Amino acid sequence: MNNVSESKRAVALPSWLLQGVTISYILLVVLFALAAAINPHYASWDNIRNLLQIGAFIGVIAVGQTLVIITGQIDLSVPWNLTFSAILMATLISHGTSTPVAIAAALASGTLVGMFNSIGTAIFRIHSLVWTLGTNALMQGATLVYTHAQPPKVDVPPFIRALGAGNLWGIPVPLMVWIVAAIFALVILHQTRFGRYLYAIGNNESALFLSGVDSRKVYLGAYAISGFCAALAGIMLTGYSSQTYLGMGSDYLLVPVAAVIIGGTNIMGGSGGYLGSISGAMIVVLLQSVLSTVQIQEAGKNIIFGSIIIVLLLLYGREKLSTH
Amino acid sequence: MADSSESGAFNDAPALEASGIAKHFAGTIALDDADFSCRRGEVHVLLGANGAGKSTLVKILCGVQPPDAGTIRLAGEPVKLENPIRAAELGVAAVFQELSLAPHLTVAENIMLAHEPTGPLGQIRGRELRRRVTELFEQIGIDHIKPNTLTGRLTLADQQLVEIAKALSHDPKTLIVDEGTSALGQEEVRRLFDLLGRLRERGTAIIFISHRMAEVREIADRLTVFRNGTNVGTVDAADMDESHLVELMLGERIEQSFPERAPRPTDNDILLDVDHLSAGELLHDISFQLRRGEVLGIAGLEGQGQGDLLLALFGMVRRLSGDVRVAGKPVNLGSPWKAIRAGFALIPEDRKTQGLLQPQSLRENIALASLKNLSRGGLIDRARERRTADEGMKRMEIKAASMETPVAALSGGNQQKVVIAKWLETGGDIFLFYDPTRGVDVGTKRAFYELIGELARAGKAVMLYSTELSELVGVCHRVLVMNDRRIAETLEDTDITENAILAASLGVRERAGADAEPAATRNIGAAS
Repeated sequence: MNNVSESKRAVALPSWLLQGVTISYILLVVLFALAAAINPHYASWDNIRNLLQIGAFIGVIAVGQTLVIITGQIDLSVPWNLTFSAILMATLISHGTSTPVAIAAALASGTLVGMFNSIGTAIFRIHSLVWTLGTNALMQGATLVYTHAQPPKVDVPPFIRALGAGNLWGIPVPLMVWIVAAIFALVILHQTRFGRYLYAIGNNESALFLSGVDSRKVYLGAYAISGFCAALAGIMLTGYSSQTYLGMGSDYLLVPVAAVIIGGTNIMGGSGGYLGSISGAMIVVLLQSVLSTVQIQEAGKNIIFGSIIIVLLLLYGREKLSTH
Repeated sequence: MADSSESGAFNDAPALEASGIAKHFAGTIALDDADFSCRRGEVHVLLGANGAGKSTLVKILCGVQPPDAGTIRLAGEPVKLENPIRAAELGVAAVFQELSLAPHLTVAENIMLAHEPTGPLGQIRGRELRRRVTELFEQIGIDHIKPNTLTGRLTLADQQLVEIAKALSHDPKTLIVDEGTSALGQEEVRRLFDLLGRLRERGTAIIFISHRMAEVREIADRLTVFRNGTNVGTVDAADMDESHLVELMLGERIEQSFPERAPRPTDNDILLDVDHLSAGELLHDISFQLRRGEVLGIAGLEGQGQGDLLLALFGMVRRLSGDVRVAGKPVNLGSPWKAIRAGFALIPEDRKTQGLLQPQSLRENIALASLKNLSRGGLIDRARERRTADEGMKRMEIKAASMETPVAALSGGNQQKVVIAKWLETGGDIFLFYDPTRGVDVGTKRAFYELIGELARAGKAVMLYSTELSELVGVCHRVLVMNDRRIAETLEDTDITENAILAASLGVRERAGADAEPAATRNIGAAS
């Protein structure tokens, strides 16, 4: 008797296969085809490998960022969390600490900073846009004080170099790291209780709370993973450029966020997933690469990059409106 | 009340007339060739089970949705109601069941939203705005709400009054009240009805949607019943035959309104023992016991602590003192998860914002509170989860295309069933129902009563906080009547009558006899 109002929509798709993901993969293919049509070099394995290698840094950061954005929050502390972790590792190595211990210290530092981020959201209920940006500034200050604005000159150990720039059986090691991180993200989001709670928080935190889940712990987990990912990217970037420097995180404030959003994850939280973030990361890398080969000034590139992101967001926004 | 439908009938055309209205949603017919008209100066009650199309009709009449076909005439003139602002300009205003107020704006700002008095530079004239709202409040007899209060600070009942004031600020010729009384206590309903009476005398056409027959009986001049998207009959209130109306609404006869009660437990198997429970200003010295298989009602006038008692038991109230024992063991009620572990399950007041993840599937919602049992090492066992969801849907008879259907696509009654299915999975023992039948149709209410009986028969204990007296009488073994945030009286078995509950809530010493005036059978409390 009640089915008049109920059968409006009977979607049988898993939540991670919603529209945005499909759009982003179509866009990736179209963009790639266009780039290859203009310059056949784009379709070469060398170039694809190069793009995937660069994409890996964004992709690894996007793992944490996707988790955080699904809860309806954002992590803007990535740039200096990443830099601090990397410089901490480099300093330890320059003082003779073994590579594994230095790496572990960097990862621990990143994770702790992530946990600090969750305090703002989970306990003080300050918007993460403000709180994590504050953390970012805090870490910037800490880095400058710690290094006297002079990052240590170190001989980056081969293992770390391999993480950032190595090849194994012709496949870039950073890409392998990315693949492992991606599998981790997909399992977390779609197979675990924690993942389910992330979506639940993004949709309706009080419903989750009233279902007996301590949402503070869920935030803690999401931010801790995001901090860990930032540190991991910092280690990889150190290996990639065989050095640490103060500006090494500066590209990673908004680019990973853009990748996540382009991949169809709702900036307000509650829907989306990492599958989309993968194509999102590759779209961003491809765009940057194409724009860097055409002769436009830096400002022009920024304008084009920004416009494309806005157009994409509008596309997704329309999708949402029409389903209501 | 006097039939005043003639007093305003100097213009022959009805104030509002809709004919041949059709509306489809993705293959579903919500309205099909529906006709409806409302005269000047009448209260026209719209009845129908959930999904009958009355909400869709209301949305079309106030410009929220465009019809696929059909015409709407206001005072004989065909009009196009493109959006709610246009509808308000043409004199159609609506009050919805779901509140549409901005919590961070003041009461005055909410009421005058989008038609604020402005100065030459387009700036809002704050003093004039507050003056107009004060004047409006005087006119409609609201004296306890300050125009400067932040709306989010008000109780649900007061917010509902603000919502009504907001609609009236447009000085509408046609006023639509959709479930406008569901959050109101007796006094507010009385005030609202007085107000509607005055508007009726002024010639306003009033379309009123309610599931409470007592209210309908009191206020209606005419009634129209919708079923399956069309008008199945309009009658004058004088000719109203309630069992016939229910028949029209359901298309089938309901023999009695309450299912047979589960037998009252005779043994002394005490499941919940609450001893001198107090919580600051919220609760004073509450003591009671609850047996397995028992249904305990919580009654009282609005804001007497009924809701806070349930929330306290669910670990949502700070600074509790006193002892709470479940099955003899003292329990810590410091947080919802501790309460859940102790066996409590809360069916919250507002399923939209507190109970459900609207965009997510039935499966995910049903499993949400029991994921710990459905997963191993943090990994969700998908097969078990699907089985759980399937069992929950069958047990609660949830009607949906599949378990992957988003909850948002379900009717209100079915959404409420999803909340309960969720708790059945946690193995909860003590079910706390927080005014569960507010705003649901007759058929769903009955399903609720049956469910409560079923829970009791299965050895669960039920606490039912309700604003409907008849429900407490029809369902409970025992009723705690609260007054001033303490227990004023406990009624048992045959002592539970609407009169007795009301008398105890009001603090009347001698209880009225069985032939007390029927006005006393109106609903009493509401959300606090």
